[in-house]
Amino acid sequence: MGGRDFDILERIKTEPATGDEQRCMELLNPADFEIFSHQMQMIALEANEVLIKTAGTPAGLAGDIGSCVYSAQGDPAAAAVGIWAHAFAGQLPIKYILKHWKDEPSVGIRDGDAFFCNEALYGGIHPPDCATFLPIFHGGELIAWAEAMAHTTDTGAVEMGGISLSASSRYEEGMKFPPIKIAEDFLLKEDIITLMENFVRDPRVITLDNKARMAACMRIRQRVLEVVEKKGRDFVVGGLRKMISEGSKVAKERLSRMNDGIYRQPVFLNGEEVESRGGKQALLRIMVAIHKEGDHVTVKFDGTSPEQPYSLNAYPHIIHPYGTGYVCCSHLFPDLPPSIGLMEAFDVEIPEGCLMNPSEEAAVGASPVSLFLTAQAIFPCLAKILFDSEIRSNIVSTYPYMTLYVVWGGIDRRGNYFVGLGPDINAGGFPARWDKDGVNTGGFFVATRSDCEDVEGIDVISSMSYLFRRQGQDNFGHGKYRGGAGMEFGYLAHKLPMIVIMSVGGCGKFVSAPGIFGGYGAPPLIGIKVEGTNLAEMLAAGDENVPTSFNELLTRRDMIEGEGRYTIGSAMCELGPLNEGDVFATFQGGGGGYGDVLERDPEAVLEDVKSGMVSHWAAGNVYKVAYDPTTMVIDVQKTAEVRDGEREERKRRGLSYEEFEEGWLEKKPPPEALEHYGSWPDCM
Amino acid sequence: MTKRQITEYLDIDLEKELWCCNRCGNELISARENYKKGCLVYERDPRTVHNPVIEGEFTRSPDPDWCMIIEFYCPGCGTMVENEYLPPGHPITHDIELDIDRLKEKYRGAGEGGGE
Repeated sequence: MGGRDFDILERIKTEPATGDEQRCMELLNPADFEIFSHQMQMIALEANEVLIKTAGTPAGLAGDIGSCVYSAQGDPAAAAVGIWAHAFAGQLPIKYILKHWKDEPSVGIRDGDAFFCNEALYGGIHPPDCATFLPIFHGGELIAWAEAMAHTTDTGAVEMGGISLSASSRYEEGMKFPPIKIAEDFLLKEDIITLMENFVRDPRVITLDNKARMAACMRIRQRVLEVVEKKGRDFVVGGLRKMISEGSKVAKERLSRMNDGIYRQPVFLNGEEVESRGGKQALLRIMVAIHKEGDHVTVKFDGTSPEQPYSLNAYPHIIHPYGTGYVCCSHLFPDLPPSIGLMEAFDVEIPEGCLMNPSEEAAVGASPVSLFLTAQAIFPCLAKILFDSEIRSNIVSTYPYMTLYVVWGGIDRRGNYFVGLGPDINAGGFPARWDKDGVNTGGFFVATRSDCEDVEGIDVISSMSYLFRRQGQDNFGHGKYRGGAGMEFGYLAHKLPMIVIMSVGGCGKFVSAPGIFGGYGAPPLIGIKVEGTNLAEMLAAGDENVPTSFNELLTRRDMIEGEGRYTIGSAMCELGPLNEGDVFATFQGGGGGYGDVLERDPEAVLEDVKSGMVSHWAAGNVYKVAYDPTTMVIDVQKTAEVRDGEREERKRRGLSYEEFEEGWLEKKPPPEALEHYGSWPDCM
Repeated sequence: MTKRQITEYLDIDLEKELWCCNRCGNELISARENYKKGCLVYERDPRTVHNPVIEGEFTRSPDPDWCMIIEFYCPGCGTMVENEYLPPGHPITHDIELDIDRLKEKYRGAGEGGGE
């Protein structure tokens, strides 16, 4: 029997080793195991390459994917990214299939089958994250699973793009499949493919993606069976289990050497309702407290805002692959082979009814936004855990909150219906590090190896032209080491029969990435829509007045001829048309800063001013560097005097903690900001 | 058993059980307390750090009705030990609450230092 099974959603930990797995592990010698471990990682990487080269979705082409070799019991043993969550999130749907479909006569699990799932209530993430799972049999016995996931651009919600901003419940979020058999005898079932095509706006993409994920899983199957042929069934079964067990053991040993304590970080988002639902800005809070004791970590979310009437909600099981998964694989244990074992030490506790543990009816399409925010809370905690540890060099400040997800669609230049996804999401600024600046346009932090593509390719594939695309000035956190700059970009509608656009952003009034250890945060994200420009004609004529940056577009309205009607808002943009000559522009968040700005090398400040990364305003007002703006020569003595003066000024203006709290705690944000926040200030 | 560096700007003197400034050595407060209680505190308008590019509701600077910067300074040398971006009136975060007994036990007999 099928149906929802919430016990399955609790099984994010590795299943206990079977007697057979235990026996097979003991047969492995260390040298063979090391070779096997590397081999499995290469197989997952190869599957990712297959997926990227065959996917139809722009997100897939940009590398927003993941592939993984799973144990027969459904635990991730060898993951490759793309996105860590995409590699790990097959765990619960596979366990569902094993529990409910294996012995179900109308379904079953046979050699040549493959299954599909994109439903969060059955272990998935959010509707556009489509996954395929393929059981690997040897001699009639299930010995492993192959998994591949990609973000497909449209899954039939009330708005295109899979992430619906106006959905207020699950019933407006389009195609949501629990684990369903999608292939038999290694052939995709045409009836199921047709069913999926019938749900969506761009059937070409969903079908290509189904084939691409199947191809990636088939490649994993082929390679794993080659190892079985060469080394035997026991070797593979024992090896997969040992990859998880060894990962868990080494990770716990490392954790146990770190300082015990409680580390807390609140993060805030000003979410936004779309115009059709009132258009109100709303302050939300996610509160993270990391309790670290010995080799165990509990991440608690008490004090997080309640379930929201729009799609920012996320289910608890997704925290593991998204939050702890990214932290473990990229910062705590980046030197260890990525498996679910690395997360074995982590538990998550989330009160029912909050944003991160909503009801079954909740809309969850934009859940990654809340998951990014969760990761943003974890990183400052992590920095405080890692500083007095053997891996201090892995410390970073904070990754930017929601790097923007822009979706467009309509009729392309070839006359086809299409839905495109801006790969600019993969060009956020990376946070400052403990010993150096963050990387400019470093990427998208959960999508470690994804790519922002080139503008010419995007123009060809997704029919969108760029007005400008560049690293933004001052759009990161200042500090002793500054955050990396995010990408700013402007899209120009040109020679398209019909196009509509929306963006998932928010955070227009609040800092988009806090800093650490006195470093400042990155500024808010905003968006501009300009209607009725003649920029295409200006470009064709080689006009020097064409805006080449976000700030130019924002402030030099006199440069644009034609009507140029401006709408300036947060980066959350409701679906609407982009007519010939219209522009939509926004930018990715930059990384948070690290350390006191007064400790930044003045020469580094001036180099940033010369390259345009830092404004003259920030060099003088924030970094307190004295220089001649004509010759760009630093006045060393005056800079030292100004900085010493600022330190003295801080001592003069700073209040004692008690004095400060007395006045501060009487303040409160405006009532309209707290409508969705929960009780002030603790959200309890 | 002496000092361990816990953050860029904070040490803990394990013998005295005190948070200290890493830059000037100033003793802040008991290591069992929130170190921020030993700092000077200043409420900064975010527009003085993030320059508003335009006027209006969305300026590229945090809206001071929604978000202020709370800065924590060492009373000895004026170093900005930490800051927080908080909605007005939101309680200050007790961000580091170390198990001091375990910390002392861990470094008993060890030399001064911290991490790498």
